[in-house]
Amino acid sequence: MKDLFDLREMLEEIKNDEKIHRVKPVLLNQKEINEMREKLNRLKREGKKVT
Amino acid sequence: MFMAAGPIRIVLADDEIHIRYLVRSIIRAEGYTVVGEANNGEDALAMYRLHQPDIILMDINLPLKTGDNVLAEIIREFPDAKVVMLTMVADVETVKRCLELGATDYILKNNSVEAIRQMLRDIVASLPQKEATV
Repeated sequence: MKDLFDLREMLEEIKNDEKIHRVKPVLLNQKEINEMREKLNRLKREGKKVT
Repeated sequence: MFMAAGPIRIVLADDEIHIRYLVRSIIRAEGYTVVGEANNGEDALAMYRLHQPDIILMDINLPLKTGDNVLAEIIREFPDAKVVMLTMVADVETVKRCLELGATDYILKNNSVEAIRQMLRDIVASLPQKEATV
């Protein structure tokens, strides 16, 4: 019986996805940057560790 | 007594002369003063130490020392420094790193002149007022 998932194939796909992720960084627009800044500031004010 | 004392003093660090020209004109039109300009990271740090301005506007991609490294050094020496990144670098990791290092704001150069002007006004408005002796 053939396995539903081919582990080697899945690992290869993950490896390729990682390559694509590294080659194409996620770019933000100004609105997203402002939101990130607000979020980090809020976490700092609340004394939480920024992750 | 607390009151604003003198114009807002700004150091501008960018290796592109036309960007410095544009930003300088925005700064001056707002009535702020450019006290120093740098076209590389090492000069930006030296300018900051020398002038200790109210704000430093700085690119990320600078020769000799990158803007994020200059940011880290400024914040280490001057924890209350207002360092504003003005750049085209928009990848999430760089933005996050700069904000976590302590950048006051992060402005993309592809904003309109009016948007950059407004963001600058907002940053100035958020500055603690200088203490003046009367």
